[in-house]
Amino acid sequence: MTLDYLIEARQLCKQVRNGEQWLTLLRDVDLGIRQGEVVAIVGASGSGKSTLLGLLAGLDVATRGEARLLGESLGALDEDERARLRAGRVGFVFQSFQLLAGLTALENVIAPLELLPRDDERRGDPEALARAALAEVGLNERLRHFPNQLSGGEQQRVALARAFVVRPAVLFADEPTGNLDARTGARVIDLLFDLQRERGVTLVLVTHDESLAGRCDRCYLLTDGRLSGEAGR
Amino acid sequence: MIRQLVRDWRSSEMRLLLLALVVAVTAVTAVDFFADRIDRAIRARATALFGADLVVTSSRPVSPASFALAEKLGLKSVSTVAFPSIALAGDASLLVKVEAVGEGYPPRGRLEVSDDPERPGQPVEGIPAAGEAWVEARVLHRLGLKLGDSLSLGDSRFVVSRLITFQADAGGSVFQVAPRLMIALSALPATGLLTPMSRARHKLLVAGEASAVTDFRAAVKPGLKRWEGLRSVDDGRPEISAALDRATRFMRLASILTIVLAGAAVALAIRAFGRVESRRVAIWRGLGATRTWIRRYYLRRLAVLVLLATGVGGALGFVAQFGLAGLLGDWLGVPLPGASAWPLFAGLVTALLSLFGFALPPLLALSRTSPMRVLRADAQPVLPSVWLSLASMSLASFAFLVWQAGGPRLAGLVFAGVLAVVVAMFLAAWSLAAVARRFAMGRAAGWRLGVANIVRYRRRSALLMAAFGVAFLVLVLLGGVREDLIDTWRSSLPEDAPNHFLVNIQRHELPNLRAFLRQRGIQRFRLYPMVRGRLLWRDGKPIGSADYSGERAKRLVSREFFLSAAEALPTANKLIAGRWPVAGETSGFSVESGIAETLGLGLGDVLGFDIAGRRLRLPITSLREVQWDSMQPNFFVMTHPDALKAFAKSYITSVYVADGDAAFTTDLVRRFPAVTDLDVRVLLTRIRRIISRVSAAVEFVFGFSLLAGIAVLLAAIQTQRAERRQEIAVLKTLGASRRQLQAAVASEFLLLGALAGFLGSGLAVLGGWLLASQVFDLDYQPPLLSWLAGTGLGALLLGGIGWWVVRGIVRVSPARLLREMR
Repeated sequence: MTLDYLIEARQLCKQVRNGEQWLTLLRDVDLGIRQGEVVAIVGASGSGKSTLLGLLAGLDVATRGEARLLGESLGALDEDERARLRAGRVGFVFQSFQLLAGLTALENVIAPLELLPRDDERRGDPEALARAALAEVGLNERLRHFPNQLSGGEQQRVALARAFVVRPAVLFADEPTGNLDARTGARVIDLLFDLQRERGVTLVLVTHDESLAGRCDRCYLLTDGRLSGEAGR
Repeated sequence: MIRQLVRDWRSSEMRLLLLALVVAVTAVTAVDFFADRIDRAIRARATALFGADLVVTSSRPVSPASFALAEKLGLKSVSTVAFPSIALAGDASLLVKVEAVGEGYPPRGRLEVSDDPERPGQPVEGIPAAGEAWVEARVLHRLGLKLGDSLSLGDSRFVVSRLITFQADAGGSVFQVAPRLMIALSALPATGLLTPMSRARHKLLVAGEASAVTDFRAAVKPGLKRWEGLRSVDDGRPEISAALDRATRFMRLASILTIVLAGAAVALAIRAFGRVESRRVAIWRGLGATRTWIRRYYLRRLAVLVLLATGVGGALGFVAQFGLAGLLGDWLGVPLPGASAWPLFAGLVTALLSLFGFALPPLLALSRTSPMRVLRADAQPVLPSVWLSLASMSLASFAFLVWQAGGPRLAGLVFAGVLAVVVAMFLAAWSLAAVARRFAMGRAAGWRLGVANIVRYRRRSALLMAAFGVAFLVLVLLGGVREDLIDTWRSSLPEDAPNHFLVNIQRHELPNLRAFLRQRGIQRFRLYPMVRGRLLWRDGKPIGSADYSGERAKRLVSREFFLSAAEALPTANKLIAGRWPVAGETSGFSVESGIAETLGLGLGDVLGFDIAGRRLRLPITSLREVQWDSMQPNFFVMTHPDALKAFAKSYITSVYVADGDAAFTTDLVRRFPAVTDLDVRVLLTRIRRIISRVSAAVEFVFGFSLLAGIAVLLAAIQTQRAERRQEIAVLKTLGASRRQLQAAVASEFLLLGALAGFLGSGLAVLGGWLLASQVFDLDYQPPLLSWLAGTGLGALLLGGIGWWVVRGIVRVSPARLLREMR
């Protein structure tokens, strides 16, 4: 393994139990992603894309093999240590946005800042940072709106602001346009790529949209849990 | 239907809904079943004490037509004759009340006799044989006889074969001065005592089917002669019904509050249910289901739920009341009658009211769910108008309260209390926001998050606080009132409560009697003067039984009162209006409030009593409540001692005689032959047993309220479960550790709990004071310490629950949580 890789997987396997049977979701996945790279993982529905993303981000643990994130072996960390590793350094964008329904747009963006240790310099003035992040995604008029008062595109932009506000090193995006129409989706993706470039964030994008995959530096194809190859640009 | 039930059972919201309903129905039916049986048992017991269902009394022999009628209607009938006479034994003589009773006496209740003065009595079938007499113990004491000796009565001699220890048809007053002597009616003529000139009381006692008794009364009443009267059973002895009355009121209150809690749990559970179901409704609507179809579908499902809850709750209530009845045992002296089916209906109404009153608005709103919700996963479920929900809930609870509390006063009190606490909780949660933010500054992330959550999720916090606060209010209130109730009962009858009444003490005997009592170590006693008087005038106008329609009032006004006097309000009495009579010109009467109500008397009314041919006229200057179960001499009418100065009077007192002092009665009778000693130990034991059993029953009913309180908490938390799961999943993804999340939720719940506990128990203290003074007539010391304890307990309890709720969720990996939410 090389330290060049910010994200790395070696012989990664994931099995889940379904009644009496064991179901294999991922088989012997190997991959490496360098800092600043934009990598797409494509595949059909049920091919294991989201599972792989979850393992790479430390949201779940592999049955076998090893996953490394930001230089740490995730298998050696317990859940809290993995959470600490993510806090402030890993951002997420989900297909279903996952904004907290009871919170306003501004409060949703403040949430990750509040998880930072008190002495973390990135915390600064959480509210000012969150306002700025929302302004960057063009939502400075929508600060006090609740998620259900925002359109899908707006909600995904709030999610982007929430992901970028802590200036993460890595951003995982799981079908970020899956719930949006083509036009809105395209705008959100443009914004995502702009922010990625500006910040130099490493981006791992799970999608079934091949044109979106085409905008990435590299592309992996996942079929039935097997990472069948790396498609270059 | 069955399939739907099975499916519903899998939904935790439905299970909660069912739990809440079942708790409500169980509480109502158990208390109703129990109260119903107790009520009928009290009637039966009163009948047993009365000795019959109906009595024809007459100063001449009862007309044979009445006997014939009773027989025709299939009623048991027994005649008795009672008159005063002198019993002789050697040189000794004694005024006794001779009671000659027919076969089958008493038709209701029982007679208890003993063959040994040292042993308690046993129920007996039959009456004294010819040539035998059964007597009260006093007869033996006074005449210096023992069982087996004989005495003369008129021309006959009787062997004293048994002691009467308990007698139905004893005729109420424990102050009966002449002791009883019972013989068979068939033995009466030979005595030659009964002549047309005798002052005898003839009675025809009848008992049987209620309808036959009613028919008998209807037929006999119009033909009653001037010298005849008709008496039916009145309530049991006041000292026993007082204790029971409080207990039923408490149980009623506990069951009402249980319903209110259960209603709240239903309201919360239905919210959670609505959230879950709205997606399903959206799919149906997308597939073309009309609103009417959806409404019908849910109404049907809820109707099944109501039936199920009524069945299960009714069955549980039925079983639970056996527990209650078992606690009471057989102290009533009559077996508890079987349960009627009526409480099941009450259970059904409860389930309907609490389900539809609390759940209808959210369900109607559910049918308005937009099919768009299928497309937008984040779209919020349609919530009913807040006002409509409030109106519906208020209406249902108020209707229920009025129905169960048996009147608008208690209902209003409870309703206002609950409303006040809900409003207070919402306002408090709202205003807490500002304070909490400041508190959170500079704390660890977990705490900061927790406090921030209270501020951000104001609506959720307010809901949780209101639910918890109400539950807490109810529990602290009931817990407090229950303890006070039980304590007050216990203290009203301490170990050394008087167990002997000494009656008919003459003025000249007072100094010697005092010395006699002190010699035996009896220090605490108070002697009350007593004169007999008949109430003849009110405000200068004659008053009589014709002025009243109620039987109790008629009887009270036509019989003699025992008037007494004291310089100050006696213990076990509570002044409720006016002031205690003073000496001199401005003196007056203090009248017991119950009798004042029955006779329509009020402050300022001038009462005129005829006392042995002389008149005593005074205004009513005060009304008082009397604690009848206090074992102190209690009087309906009292005045200042000066007012009774001019009248001949005897004295009465009650004393506690230690069990070791076996010779008390014998010594007393020897030294003060005219003084009557009434041993009330049996009565006292009965009252003590009632109190301990009733206390246990009260605790039992309180258990339902606890259950309902728990259901409310679970429901409140259930409504937020989905939201909290998502919140935790997202925060975990963003890097929150378990510790942070646990601290966040625990601190949120801890703070909410402290505030809810503070408000809930504060209001409970206030409510307790209101209830104690307005409903239970108890002196109440506001337990300020329990306010503090309530705050701490609230924080701990809700904090603990919060920790417990998230404990499971924080363990699940964020990947799985997110997968579940897709």
